Amino acid sequence: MAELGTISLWIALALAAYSTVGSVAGKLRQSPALVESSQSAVYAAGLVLLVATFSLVIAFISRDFEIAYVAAHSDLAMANRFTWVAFYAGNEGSLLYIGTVLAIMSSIAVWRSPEKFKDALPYTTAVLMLTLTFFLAVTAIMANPFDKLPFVPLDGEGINPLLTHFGMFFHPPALMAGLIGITIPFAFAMGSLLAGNTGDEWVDAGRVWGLISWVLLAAGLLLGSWWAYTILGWGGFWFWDPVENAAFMPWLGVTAFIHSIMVQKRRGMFRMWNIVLINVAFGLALYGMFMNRGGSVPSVHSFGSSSLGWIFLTFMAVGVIVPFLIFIWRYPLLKSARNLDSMLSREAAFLVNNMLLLAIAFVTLWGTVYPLLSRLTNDEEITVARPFYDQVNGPLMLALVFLMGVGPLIPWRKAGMASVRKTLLPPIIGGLATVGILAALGLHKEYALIGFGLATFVTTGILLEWYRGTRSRHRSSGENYITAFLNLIMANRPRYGGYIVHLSVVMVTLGIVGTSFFSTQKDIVLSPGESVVVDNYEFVFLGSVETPKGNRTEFTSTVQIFRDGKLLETVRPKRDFYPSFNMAATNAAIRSTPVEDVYIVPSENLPDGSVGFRILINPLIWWMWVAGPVMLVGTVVALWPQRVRAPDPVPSPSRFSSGTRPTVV
Amino acid sequence: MDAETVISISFGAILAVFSFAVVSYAFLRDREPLAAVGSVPVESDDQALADIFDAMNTLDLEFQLGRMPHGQFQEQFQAYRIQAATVLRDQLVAGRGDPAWVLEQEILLARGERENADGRIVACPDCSAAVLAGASECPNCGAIMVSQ
Repeated sequence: MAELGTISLWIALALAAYSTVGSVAGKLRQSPALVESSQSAVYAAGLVLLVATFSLVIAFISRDFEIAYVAAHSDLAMANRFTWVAFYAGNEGSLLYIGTVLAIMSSIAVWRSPEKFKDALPYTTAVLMLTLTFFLAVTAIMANPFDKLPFVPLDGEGINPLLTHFGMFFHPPALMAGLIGITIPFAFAMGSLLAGNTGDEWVDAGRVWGLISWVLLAAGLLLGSWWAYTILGWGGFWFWDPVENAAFMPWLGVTAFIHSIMVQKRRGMFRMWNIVLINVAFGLALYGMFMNRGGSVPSVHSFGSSSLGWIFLTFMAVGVIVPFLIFIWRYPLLKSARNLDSMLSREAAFLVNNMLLLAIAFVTLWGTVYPLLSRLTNDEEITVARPFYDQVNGPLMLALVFLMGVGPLIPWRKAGMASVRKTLLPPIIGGLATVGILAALGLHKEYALIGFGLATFVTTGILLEWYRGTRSRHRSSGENYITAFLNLIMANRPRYGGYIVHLSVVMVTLGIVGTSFFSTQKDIVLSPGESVVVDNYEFVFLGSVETPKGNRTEFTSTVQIFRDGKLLETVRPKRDFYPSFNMAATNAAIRSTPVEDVYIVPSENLPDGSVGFRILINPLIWWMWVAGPVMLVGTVVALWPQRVRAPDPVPSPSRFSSGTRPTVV
Repeated sequence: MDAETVISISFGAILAVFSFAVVSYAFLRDREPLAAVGSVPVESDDQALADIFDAMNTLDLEFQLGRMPHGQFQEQFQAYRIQAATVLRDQLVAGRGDPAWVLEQEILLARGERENADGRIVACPDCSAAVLAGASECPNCGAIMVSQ
């Protein structure tokens, strides 16, 4: 299998390189055969990389420890279901995964590109294949997952225990696919620029692929947070870790892009701005991949000892500088069809939305690179921790939530004050009422009050929009309310899909505000039979059991949770110790309700039978995890193609004229 | 060299030959001569537009005779309008048709959208659906129609 895998890698590399050169040469020399051949090479590269992928999977399943990568990330005791995770657990495998995903996405993007974009497609193909060539060259030459050991070990080193969590089946592949997926809308934008197109031919494809990479990144970020919450044992879900930030920043860039591209689609505006945005998003995605491959800032996420950092840094520099040079070269062609009519318009709201998103991205970037800068300039490393991000990004994010409520309610072009007042009044009343009620109930934390008020403001606005639209359809078409509502969504899919996604963002906001401001934590050592009271819960530790397994020792503790003297649940948090890795992995016991999570995790098992526990009460965090599927549904609705009904050709008296016949050019 | 290695290398060779064949096919297959720009028969575009306009006339007549509800009329009319605009845009992009004629058609379409037996039709500022002037809300998305 190693030989087949290596041969496949090199064939794919050759195809990608050929397609890069052939696309451009075919376009410049007006050779349709060369252009078509280059596009065929894209499809072939995807197929060949799938063969390489299957080769590695088969090597894992057959425990072919002669392959160094298989020996480093699996062992005889590993269950087959973890093969998928082991595949991308290391640098080499993850690079192969990224290359395969990029090849498959590129194949679909080229195959399904709009007819009106045909003229610029060769340039888009070249950009995609140039990126693929880079990744495959690094993989084949410097990080080949099929390299063999000089001997065959009897057993492998095993998979990192932290990766055996359910979330790891989806978090890394979603994030990596999201990061590399940004290449697709970027390539469409660059292709359009290189072809000298002045119109908006690339916008539809740019929007669709922007949304796809956005939802993959969002899913990856949420799943990663969930993984951190359940398995890392500190009770939190976001650490502002440099590699977390490195995935968060391109997500912010793509969020700005998918909003702004709608303005270009709808009104032919923001042409230059959208090119800048997608360049920034792509640059941040390359930065994310650089951070993961031995970047300069250490992280629990990075493939620690990788020497590929400088290679990725160079590619990132090229990937940022060259697109901006192309932008400057084609700048005169990018004049928008229209100007901004009014600052009180949806276009202006989108622009402010973009500014806020980029400001958050900049603050995050500053906090991420500041330790490196301080080390270079002052010879001492100053770490930037959570308080910085909370104090600076927190208010910006609240402003963004506010805009999320206002923007969809303002009309395009120009809003009259009367209509704005009429539309915004109910949500404002809802938000203020929430603030008033919570303040009256004794809640005095300002940012929490603002957060809850904004959540109500946005939700009220969305629900009112749904109600108004449903009622109008019900009146005009006679449909019942349920049918009218469903037809309303299907008739305006991008818009109502966006509303559903906005609701999921409100749910995430609730989770963040609840845990940030109202979480309770207690660290305590309990002997069997002892109890502790946290908030209005009583925790009784009954004892723990030690169970040796093949590659680890499991310590399972039994704890009863009481409230008002009544037993709510008996939970069993676990702590596993892996001697081969000299590390422990915890599995928190979480009693989750929409109101609050009761979270217990054992931090240490002492020789006398007592156990150190961390107990947390996390209000509203349930909403954050439920937001994930809601976000996915909203994105699917927004992406679902809209049908245009075919006309029925029936002769009739003519009130509309088809005018004079055109002359043939 | 063991059997597994031989099989792997053989599969690799087949993969290489397959890839070469895929890439070469474009050069080997018969190719129709490139059509000159603008030589696509105008009749096909013209016929498509004529069909769409005919259908819009029929729709308008049906609505004026009270044979279809307002919401259904608007939805269908919007669909026809989008189709006609697409044909016109494709014409321009492909270099066929006279831009002045295309502009004239777009004006006629816009005028046809605004004229109605009951009065003027205006575009909803939110979803751009056709709405009777004076309506309090858009029948497509429910947006409040306030004079700007």
